[in-house]
Amino acid sequence: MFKKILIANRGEIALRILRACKELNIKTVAIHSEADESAIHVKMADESICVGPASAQLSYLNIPAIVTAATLTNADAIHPGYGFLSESKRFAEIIEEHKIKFIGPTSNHIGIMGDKIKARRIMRDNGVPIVPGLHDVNDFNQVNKFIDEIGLPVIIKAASGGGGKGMRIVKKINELENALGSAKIEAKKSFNNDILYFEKFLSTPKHIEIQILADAHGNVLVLGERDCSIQRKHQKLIEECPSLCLEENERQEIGELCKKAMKSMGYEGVGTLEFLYDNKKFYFMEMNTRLQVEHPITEMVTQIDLVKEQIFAALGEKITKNQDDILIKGHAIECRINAEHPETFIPSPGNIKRYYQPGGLGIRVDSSIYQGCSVPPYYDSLIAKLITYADNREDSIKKMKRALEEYIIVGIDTNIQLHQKIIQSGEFISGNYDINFMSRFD
Amino acid sequence: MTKIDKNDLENINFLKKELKLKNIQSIKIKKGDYEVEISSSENVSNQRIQQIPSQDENSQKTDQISKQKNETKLENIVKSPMVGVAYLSPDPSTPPYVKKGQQVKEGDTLLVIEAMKTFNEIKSPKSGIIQKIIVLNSQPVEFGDDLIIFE
Repeated sequence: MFKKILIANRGEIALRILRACKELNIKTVAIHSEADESAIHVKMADESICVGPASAQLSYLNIPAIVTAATLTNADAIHPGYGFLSESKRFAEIIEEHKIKFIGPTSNHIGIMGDKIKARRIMRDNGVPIVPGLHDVNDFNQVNKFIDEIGLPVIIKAASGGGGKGMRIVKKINELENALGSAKIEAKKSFNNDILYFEKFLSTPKHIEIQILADAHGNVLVLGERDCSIQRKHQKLIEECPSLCLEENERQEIGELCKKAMKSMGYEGVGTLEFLYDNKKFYFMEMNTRLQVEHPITEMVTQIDLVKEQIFAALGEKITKNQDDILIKGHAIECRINAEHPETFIPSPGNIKRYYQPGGLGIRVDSSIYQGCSVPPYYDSLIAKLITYADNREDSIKKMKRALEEYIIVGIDTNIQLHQKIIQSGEFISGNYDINFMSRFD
Repeated sequence: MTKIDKNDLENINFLKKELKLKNIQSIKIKKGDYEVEISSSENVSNQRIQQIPSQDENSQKTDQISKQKNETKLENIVKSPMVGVAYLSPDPSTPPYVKKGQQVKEGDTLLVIEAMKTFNEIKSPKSGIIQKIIVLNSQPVEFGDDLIIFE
């Protein structure tokens, strides 16, 4: 077992990892910026080190400072959480070079999946369905042929893309040239890589992702799916598990294909394959080689602690469960509570003057805020994840409604009211919603 | 657009009663970080209802300073709607969105404020000529800080 883990993150996920470490009797090192001196993850860790000023670029993304902190404290492993350096190939490489274990896949696998074109090829070669696309955007004959075949609209994406950067939807053929030009400039600026590719644009799909867990011995488990179609500007707001729209055979089929692809790569640790799901068909989009924000809903329905499993996988331990042991039981929903105005979406950092957290059977709150704490303006607006669990979806929604009513956060704006409206809307209750839900929702 | 609700009307009535205002000339309600402004013909008073007292003090101070300097009308000052870091250009290699003396149209982007990993474009509330850009590039700003003044 590891003796000491450095947690290279902040907020609720730092706390989530710290909790798993405590239960496994592993000592923890928290890193923090000057703005996070009084953060709960710092207070609860065995040791803490300030790695830089408030700006994330100079603290939570500061690789030399974090590696120095790990060396000084004799940490034998680093957990990157999500965001920040969790999908940085360079960070994983440097950690490997320092003989510290990176809790996650190898730097090589992070690199492969970070390149969307490479990721698409691997999936295609393993029979995982991908969005029809074209990898060479410079050959105009091929481009014309592609557009003739699949029809407009098409979407231009950046090979190193993320967060909607370098992305353009082309609805008319005369928009093509301009869209390619501006996407190229944006991709170059954002990722220092201007390689683009085309994909068919699906207009009303669902976002469904598959959670996998793999060990260093070639064993891969599929831990069900998550429906994350409630999104605003590519940011997920509500996730649920299982998805109402999937039949059991569809679930098994896509699960087996994901498993095959992961085995062929020799992937280790947890990972998520993101799909668009349209007209009963799956289309692979990308893979996240890390723990996801919405991992708790999978934990609720499988009763598997994903952070502990990450640690076991990093230790090289064999998975003891078989796929048949994995039962998806009940229904879990997660609402992401953000520090932002529920109507204008203006970010709202500041002091939490009063705080009361909901509780009771089937309620889980993963959050690092507390009464009297300050939400800094420098980082993500996610301040809490409210998760409900019940035998069935209907009861899980009822619990969510009740828990949102109980939740009191005074001093800053939050999107709690927005969540209340969403979960009570007919479209959400029907389960028959797609990724355009939020654009229609007012 | 947000609608006027019961709370707004109650707040206005409360202020009217408390301040013994008569002959109200104009009422302004702003929803992002709630703000109510009432002016009457007898005495012009700006009443803010805010949740964070320290920021209220700040904005009052800046209000006083700008008033002392040159009686700039409130409607000519663009104030920060949020806490964050102000940037005058989309990125370091491109020219600023606007310059001093420039004519801008209502809705033009004046600057961006980065808060909680999002870049929020601050649009011009009116058409006019920019007299002064108060905020510096990559300067942290508080809620209610003056950013730009129109002529």
